[in-house]
Amino acid sequence: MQNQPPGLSPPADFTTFMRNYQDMVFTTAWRLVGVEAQAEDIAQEVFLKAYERFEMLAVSPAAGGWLKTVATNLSLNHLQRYRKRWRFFSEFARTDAEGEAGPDFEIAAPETFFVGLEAEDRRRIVEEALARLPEHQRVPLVLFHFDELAYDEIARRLGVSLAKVKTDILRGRTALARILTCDPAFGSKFGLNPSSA
Amino acid sequence: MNFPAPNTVEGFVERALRALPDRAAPGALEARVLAEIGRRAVRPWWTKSFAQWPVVVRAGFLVVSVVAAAVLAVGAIAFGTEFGAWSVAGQIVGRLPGVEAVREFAVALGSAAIAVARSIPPLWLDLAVAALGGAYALLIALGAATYRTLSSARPTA
Repeated sequence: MQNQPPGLSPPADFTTFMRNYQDMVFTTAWRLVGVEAQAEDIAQEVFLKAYERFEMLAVSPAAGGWLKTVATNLSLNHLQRYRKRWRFFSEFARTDAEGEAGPDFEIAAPETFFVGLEAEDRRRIVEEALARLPEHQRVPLVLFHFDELAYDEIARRLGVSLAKVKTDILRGRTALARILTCDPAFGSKFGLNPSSA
Repeated sequence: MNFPAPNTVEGFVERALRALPDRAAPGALEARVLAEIGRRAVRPWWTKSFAQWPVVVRAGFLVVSVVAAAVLAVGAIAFGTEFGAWSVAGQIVGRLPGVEAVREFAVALGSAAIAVARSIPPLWLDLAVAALGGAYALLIALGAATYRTLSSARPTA
């Protein structure tokens, strides 16, 4: 596609290709940037890049991985473009959610926590809890659990120290678990039964 | 691979996030992408990135660029050697009114600055350096405090 004069309308295959992957691409961007409009812009950019390489991607079994990687990279670029100047100060930043994160704790009957919930409801609840985390905890947590990147790779991608990544993920997990299990306002909003941890 | 115990925070979060379904992309995304593809398709080739230029044009551009660079380099060398342009240029710069005056002024200014610096007691210089360092540290502290105040009030999503 790159060296051919593109037609006025894209091939039908590309539309099918886009429909197959648009939810995954949009979700990848949304979980990182946390703002729907920005995630939509990033998803659009991902598919425009995919269109330029569609001859290769259409037959590649790794197309999904390529799209996810590009979506992740563009999302991280987007986050860093606006926050690079604050990186120095962010090392000092402590937010309320971070302050709440204390030592590890055990959760009573974790296997029954989401029982009875549809997958879509579980997604909504978990994503709203994720959105409450400060960005410096949410982003490494998403990269670790959803993109399955190693700690050192996350540190390299975010340009922070390995120790900071480990600390942020640990605190992010604790804060997320506390929001889900101990926050009565959050639990009542979704009809959960917050247990004392 | 070691899986975290399910009753720990790590195990609970792992369970909560595992196999989470995707969000539905906005309905307008597909139309936006197709519209942008159409808009880009009707742009003339010279407004696109170099990688998207036609192969013949890209090859021609490279050849013309190399030839132009070679002509410029050979021409400059020939001009310099055949017509003595380098020595002429040196003489012109030397005779420009004001160039020598500017040089003399810069030398005098530098000498005066050195003389003044040597006349200041070392203790004063140390105090000035310490004051500058303190002011810089205060600026950093104020910046960090302002950032923490503003970032804690900012919504996370």
